[in-house]
Amino acid sequence: MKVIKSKKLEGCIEGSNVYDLLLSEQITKEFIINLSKLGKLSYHASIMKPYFTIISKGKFTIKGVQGNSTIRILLPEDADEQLINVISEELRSC
Amino acid sequence: MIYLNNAATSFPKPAQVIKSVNNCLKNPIIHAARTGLEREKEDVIYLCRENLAKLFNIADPLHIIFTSGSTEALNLAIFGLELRKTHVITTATEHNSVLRPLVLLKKQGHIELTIVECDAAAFVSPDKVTEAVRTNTGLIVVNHTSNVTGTVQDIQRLAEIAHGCGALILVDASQSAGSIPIDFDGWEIDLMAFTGHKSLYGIQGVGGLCIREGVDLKPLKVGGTGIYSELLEQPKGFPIHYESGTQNTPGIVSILSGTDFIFRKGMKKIHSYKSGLVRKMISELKDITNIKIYNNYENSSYTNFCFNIEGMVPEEVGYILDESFDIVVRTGLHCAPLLLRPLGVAPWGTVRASPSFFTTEKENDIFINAVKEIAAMVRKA
Repeated sequence: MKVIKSKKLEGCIEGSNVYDLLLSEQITKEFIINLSKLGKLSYHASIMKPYFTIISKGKFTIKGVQGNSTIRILLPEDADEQLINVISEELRSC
Repeated sequence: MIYLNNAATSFPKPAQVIKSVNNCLKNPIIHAARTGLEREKEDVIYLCRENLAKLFNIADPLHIIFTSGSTEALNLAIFGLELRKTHVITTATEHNSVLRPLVLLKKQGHIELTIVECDAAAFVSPDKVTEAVRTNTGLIVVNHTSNVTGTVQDIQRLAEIAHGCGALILVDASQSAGSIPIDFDGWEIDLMAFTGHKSLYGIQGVGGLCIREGVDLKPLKVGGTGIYSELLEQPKGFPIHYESGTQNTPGIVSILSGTDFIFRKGMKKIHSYKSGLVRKMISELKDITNIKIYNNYENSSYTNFCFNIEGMVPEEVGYILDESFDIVVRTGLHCAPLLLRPLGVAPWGTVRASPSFFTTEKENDIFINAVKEIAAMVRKA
């Protein structure tokens, strides 16, 4: 999965280091399961379009919805912004 | 998409609003003051003032000044009044468009400022306002309807308190204008700001300030007025003393058409439908153990459904509603930061769903079920 575009969100109350990433394909269940190598996966299949989070404690949170082609990444306030590029690279192998 | 963010900007607009703005852009704009009596019946700006005067019960339509919206109207009022060395009272329910100008004046040393607390239902007790009055109180600024909870304040009583101590009252009617009855003359309001793009069904970028005769207010800007061009000073009189530069005629036309829509449908009927949707949200969701609702109180206008799901921050609830269900709501502080404490929702705020007259009952049910699903998901997690 490639990252086509990355956008830092302004005024996001969840933090000042929040990014939306546009992916090259729709998010599949397989992709979500592969993402779990990056952190703890919570997968909620009970809602209409399953929602998931991947939490790497103290490092980042990834969240998204199966069937969509964007994910949101929350970094700690003091995180190096380059971390988003590192995560983007990791996504390529998922 | 199901759009439930009408407290921010109403969508969709009535078809007649879209048509009238479109016509406005396709035809030359006629302003009777600049073209003569022959064209008076086509003076959409005056016709809009007449509609607003009828809606707000203002005897003289010329005392309604057009601005770019509520924020400019509130700035015009707050910075245009002579407030040096006076005490200003406002409330914890206010939007930043009131709080920031007042805090700036306080920081500059021009005013004393008291912010009166509200209760957990965002209602401001008139008695607490009375207690805050000082000998030099010159202005009370109050939100008619909270943009967060929809709570309606007792403007008539607050105006009595203001006038009883020789102060003026400035009302922020951004949420209430077009939604619930306003009696500007009857309640003896001195200044009232409104915006066009919410319940007046207009487009963004237009609003106004209603100014009572005798209120001494400096204009925020001066310049061309199209008439009295021989004068090198800003002409006196309503409305041109406050309206310099070319008007946002498409915006004003949108309010004219939006208010026509309100008169045709009936404001009571529109409000009854919207509040019916919100009451259904409340009745369907109030007994769910991890849902907390903040607007189910006596003084609510029931135009917003304001809630949280315990165990999940509002922004995340909004994200799931958007990404998984294609439902647009608003999350966070809603530009009313002082409400966090009385509502007990610091630091994340709330989720706000605000339906419109155009929201269908089916869409409302989809939203209710979506919230139920998310709440169940959080309970299981």
